[in-house]
Amino acid sequence: MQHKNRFFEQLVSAYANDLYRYAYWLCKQPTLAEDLVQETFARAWKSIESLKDEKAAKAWLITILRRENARLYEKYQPQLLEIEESLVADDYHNEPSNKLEKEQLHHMILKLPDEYKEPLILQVMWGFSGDEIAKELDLKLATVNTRLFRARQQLKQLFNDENTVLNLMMEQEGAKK
Amino acid sequence: MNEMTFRTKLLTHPQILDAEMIKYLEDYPEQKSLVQGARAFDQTISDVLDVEVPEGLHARILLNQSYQQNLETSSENVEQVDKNVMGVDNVTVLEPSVSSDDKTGWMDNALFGSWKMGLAASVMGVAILLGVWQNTQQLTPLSGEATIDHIIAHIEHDPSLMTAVKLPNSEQELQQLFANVGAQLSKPVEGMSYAGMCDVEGQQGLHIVMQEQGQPVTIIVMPGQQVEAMHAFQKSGYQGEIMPVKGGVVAIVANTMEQVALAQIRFFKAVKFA
Repeated sequence: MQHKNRFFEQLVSAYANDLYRYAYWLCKQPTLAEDLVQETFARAWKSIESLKDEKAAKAWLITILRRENARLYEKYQPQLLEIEESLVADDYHNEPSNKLEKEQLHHMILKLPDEYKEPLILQVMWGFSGDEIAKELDLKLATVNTRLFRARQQLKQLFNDENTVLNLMMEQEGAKK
Repeated sequence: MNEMTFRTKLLTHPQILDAEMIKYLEDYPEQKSLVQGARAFDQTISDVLDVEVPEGLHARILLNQSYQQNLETSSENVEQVDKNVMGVDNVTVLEPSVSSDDKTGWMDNALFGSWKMGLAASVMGVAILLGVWQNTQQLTPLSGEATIDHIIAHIEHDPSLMTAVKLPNSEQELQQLFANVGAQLSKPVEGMSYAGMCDVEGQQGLHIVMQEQGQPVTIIVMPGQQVEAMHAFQKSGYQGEIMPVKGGVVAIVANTMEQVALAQIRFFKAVKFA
């Protein structure tokens, strides 16, 4: 039992933060994201004996979390954070440009369809290879590659469009002064 | 490889340059800026994905797990009691003529004949079941906010207990304290600096202080009370949890949620409610 407890604590310490982040990007709500992580670990605790290979823990936990999210999604359809978007728009001239760019990107990632977002998160945040993403998401490697490409392409495109608009607005502000 | 393929591969895996891509860069060194740009953009994506994690998340997960574990242990104990009771009854029914020479029973067969043993076992079984039934019947539902206020007032009533080192003189006395609230101590509670009986809402409870991360954590065990589920609270600068245990309620109050979680793990590792 002590070994089981220690192992569980190690799992929490190693993966809870990134699981929370994964959940956040999937469900788009901090409170819901924490609930998802709690539920993931609750289920992990119940079936921790079934985890034979410790190296597989990462993928195992993500699989549990994704299932929980799917279950949750059947019940609720979380709304996008419209309020935060408006806040970003209002505050653009008060924020350092770098921070503002990141906030814009934040909202763009939130808007990205899950089919593009998930492979991107698994690659960038979790360090999964193309094959590992394909296995986790039950896709062909070619599909994963296409989605990774499109995810970045869309973000770049949106990001550049947003920045063009932003630059125009800032120029207009400067002209007024 | 042409530029289109190079760009596609770069956007798919910005951190990986395969042999073909390296060859392409050797042929077109001016395209190295594309790699730098793609990697810088990826770093920005990575920074953005790295959202802030709520404070105390780990502690809350461990707290939940500890609670879950405690529930599992409690239900196992209940199952064990049920099995024991069933076992005794089976002996009574199926083997009414246990040899009077058998001295391995919990009472001397010279005093209790086999039929008396059977009868005693049955009575004991009924008594245990009745006890369990009465326990569940006599639990008083707690009124959330009022109880939290009362617990905090109780803790603040005698702040000297937070720093006092005052424990019963013997293990027997300590066991008796826990037995008073229907609990059993299987090993010393790590970091416990105070243990004594107290009065909570007109009922006798067990008041424990543990030192966690150099800060006092108070645990109050209230037998005969009931809450439907574990819930966390934050009031008057304190953080805490109230949770149901068999036959009562346990409240843990500390300065941070992490201290609550750690204290709970230590407490339930040592204390069993049966």
